Amino acid sequence: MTSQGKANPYIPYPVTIDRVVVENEARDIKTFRLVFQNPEDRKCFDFRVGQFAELSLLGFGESPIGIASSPLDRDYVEFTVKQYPTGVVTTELHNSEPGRPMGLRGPMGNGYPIEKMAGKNIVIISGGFAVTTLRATIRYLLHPDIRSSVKNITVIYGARSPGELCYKEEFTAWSKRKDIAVTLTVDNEAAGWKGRVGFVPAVVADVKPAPLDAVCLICGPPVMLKYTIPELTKLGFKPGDTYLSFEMRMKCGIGKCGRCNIGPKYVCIDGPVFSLAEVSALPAEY
Amino acid sequence: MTACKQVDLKTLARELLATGKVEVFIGYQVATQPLMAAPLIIHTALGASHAQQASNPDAERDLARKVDALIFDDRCEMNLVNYLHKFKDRKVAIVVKGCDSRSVVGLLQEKQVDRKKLIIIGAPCRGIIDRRQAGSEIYTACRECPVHNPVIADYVIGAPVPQPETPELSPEVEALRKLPAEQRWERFHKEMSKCILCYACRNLCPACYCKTCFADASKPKWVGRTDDPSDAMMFHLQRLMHLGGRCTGCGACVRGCPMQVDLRLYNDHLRSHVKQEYGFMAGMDEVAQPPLAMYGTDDCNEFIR
Amino acid sequence: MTREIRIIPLTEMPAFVGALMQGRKVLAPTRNDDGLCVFAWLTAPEQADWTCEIPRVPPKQALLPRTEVLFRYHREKGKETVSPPPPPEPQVVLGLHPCDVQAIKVFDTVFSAEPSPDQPYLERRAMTTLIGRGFSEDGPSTPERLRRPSPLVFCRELGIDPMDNRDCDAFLVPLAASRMALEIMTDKGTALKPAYERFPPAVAEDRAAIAEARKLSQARITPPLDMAAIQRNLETIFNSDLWNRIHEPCVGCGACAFLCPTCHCFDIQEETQGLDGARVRVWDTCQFDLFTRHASGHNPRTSQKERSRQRIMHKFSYGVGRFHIPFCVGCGRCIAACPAHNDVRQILKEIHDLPRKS
Repeated sequence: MTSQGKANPYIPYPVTIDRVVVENEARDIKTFRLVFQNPEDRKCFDFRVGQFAELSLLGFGESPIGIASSPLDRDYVEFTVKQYPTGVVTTELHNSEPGRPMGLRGPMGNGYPIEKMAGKNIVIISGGFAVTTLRATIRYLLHPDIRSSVKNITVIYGARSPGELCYKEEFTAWSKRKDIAVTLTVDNEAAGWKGRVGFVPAVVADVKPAPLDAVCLICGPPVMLKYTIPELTKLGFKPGDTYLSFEMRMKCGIGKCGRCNIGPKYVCIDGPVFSLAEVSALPAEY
Repeated sequence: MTACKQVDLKTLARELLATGKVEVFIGYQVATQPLMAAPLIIHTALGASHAQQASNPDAERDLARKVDALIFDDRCEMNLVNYLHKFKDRKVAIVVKGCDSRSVVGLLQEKQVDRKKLIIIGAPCRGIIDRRQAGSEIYTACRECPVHNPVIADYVIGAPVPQPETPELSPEVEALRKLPAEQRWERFHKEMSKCILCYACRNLCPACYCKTCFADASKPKWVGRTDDPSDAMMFHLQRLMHLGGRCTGCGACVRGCPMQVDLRLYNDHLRSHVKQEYGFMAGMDEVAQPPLAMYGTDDCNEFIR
Repeated sequence: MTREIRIIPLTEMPAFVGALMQGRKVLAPTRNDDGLCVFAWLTAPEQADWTCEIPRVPPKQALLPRTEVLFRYHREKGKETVSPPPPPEPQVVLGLHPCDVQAIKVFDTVFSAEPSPDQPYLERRAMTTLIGRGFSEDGPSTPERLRRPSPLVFCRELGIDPMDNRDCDAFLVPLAASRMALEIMTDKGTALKPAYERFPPAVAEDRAAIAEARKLSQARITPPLDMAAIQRNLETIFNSDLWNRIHEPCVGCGACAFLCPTCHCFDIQEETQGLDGARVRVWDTCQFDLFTRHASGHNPRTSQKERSRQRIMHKFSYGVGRFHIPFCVGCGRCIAACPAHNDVRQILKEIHDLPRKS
């Protein structure tokens, strides 16, 4: 099975749901911790932050989801999944409990430019549930073996309301640390919320992360990207140093089935991470 | 058909487009292949008002060239009414044969087109050449067509043509009905095995305009897309049921099928049932209510009363 | 390089095909009950039809079946087992027009591409022997002589010679006096020896006739379509008004893509029955709305305009840019199959003739 899984790219690794965490008040975002049924498969599943995988539910199908855990979380991999009413796989997944066997195919895609990030200041901006692969990145960068490889880490993360912020405990813990500057924000005032209030673009303009010697990773809903990118440009971030991650409908995940291209680029193998410079050369078909 | 003005196609098109009475003219032109006509969709210059367009000689020349390319003859097989869905909010003129005019009536009944924004140009028609046969044979659907002259039109191009006697029931359908159930099933199975699920039939059908077709639904997934004939059977059975009392028998699906699946046989079968049970012919009367789209308190069936 | 040539009388072709069918599946041009030419799996040698030029259904099903089981599975509470499909059987694709051979080259390029070669495809490909067939209007005028090429075929305009035997394992060339020459080019071709060894080798006269036919065919190749210009233009016209016109007659069905020998886009679906099931890949097309629609409902290609553009771009720009091979071989099937009578040749000409932006 394991060797077959490697040879036939369509056969998933067998995994088991180990833990399910409800991330938001609306209860339509959950994080699934998956453990490999054959521990040696975890070694084959050698990924970098920003990559994604196909979550496979036999009888229901597959869904491409960004990896939310760090490569250094050796015993498991995590995926944060939003449930959509028309989503067959995401709905079934949300109905699943720990102990359920399922499949995992990947890792897929290019991931964030870790090599380029070495020795740089890192700016991470995110909104809503798109934070998943950036959460993986923060976890990874904060690992004691890795932290010294980059300079300052600045994180701005926003959601509609406090209840819609994902990974709340983790972010709260990170806000208290000295080796990372975390700004959390929500769109509107809310009872019990003592943090910032305001949309992500405005908070970016206010926090003014420094563009010097920096790599910026940004992931969020289209409207957030639309208004945040001009702010970053104003601050002086270069298109070549600013990276976005795309989502597309996908099937194979390996550049064969032909549906996830934006112009000549396949999101599944050339992306999902593209620099703003690369994106500006692509047609706006996403 | 109420008596209306007999006109020349190109003159009319030129006038309608030039005066801004329509923004889109849907007609036919010669196709690149012999014995075929392709749709020709002519726009007044996109986004430009009538006055602006007149001042643009390039656009004017282009428009004139397109109007000159308009034809109507026995090659014009496509039912253009399907294109009305693409131009819902526009002022449109469309060329329709007798069969196609019934599709327009169907859409008017179902309130899918705004009559005020539509100019119907009727084209009396003796039948369309069956390009699959060598020679000058017309399509079976045309041989059995009860409306060689459009049932609704604002203008007509050409004189009315004589309406030949047509059989009450297509001989093929009659033969099919006489077969025992197993043989009918076998025939259906064989016919459906040809289908490659390209959905040309659905996409060509003026009556198929669901925003999300059942075939594209994911929850629940009604039909698969494998080569097991059961998938094609499920698709066509559901589509047939959906067209019960609505199919006008224009034959667009049959002519457009790249695999020559004989959908006509089953559509005709269904249509003749509707006619027998309800005395209803789809697309004949603008104000009539399709029997499967209405409800009466005096329904003979208890379950619905 | 042609290793040997055998001469098979047309009357003996069923015997040859029958021998090929020993231990192999054979896909060949046949006529179905409606008289329509299609590539289909033979159940009897006589079904192979040598009067078919470009069968409506292309041969791609041999390598990318309409439905292909990627693996099967069995589910029980808390336990799932997955089993790969049985290894592919040896198969022969017989009577391929050289443009269909070129289409298989497109498949090979895409499915073998790194970083993830498509192993199920490659396994099936390895078990496949390609026997092409030459077509030429200059051929010998016997009753069985090749029919005149279909007016819809424009492979020559793309530089594909209908007598080209490259990339085939064996190749059939029609000869005078109701005979076929069988050229053997590769090890896979030689492996067919038990099927062809009883037929006599070609004599000098036959070889000369074949060479002459090739020469005449090559002389007819005058590619008027500058594919490089088309690709260059496509790179600059993503937002052109052209697409507003091109898509308009298109009804958005999948006839062109499903019958295209190079279209290879697929969907992956579940086929379940009770606790058993299979994950299958089925043909799909960029012409369908569902192709790119996200679960959230968002669709990056919202209308037929975007979808028609994608089809042309993928074939003549993206494919060329990534793999250096156009995803069109000029077989004309899409022109014949299009219910709206759209003609890709016209579209290409329009793109080709666009005024160059300085």
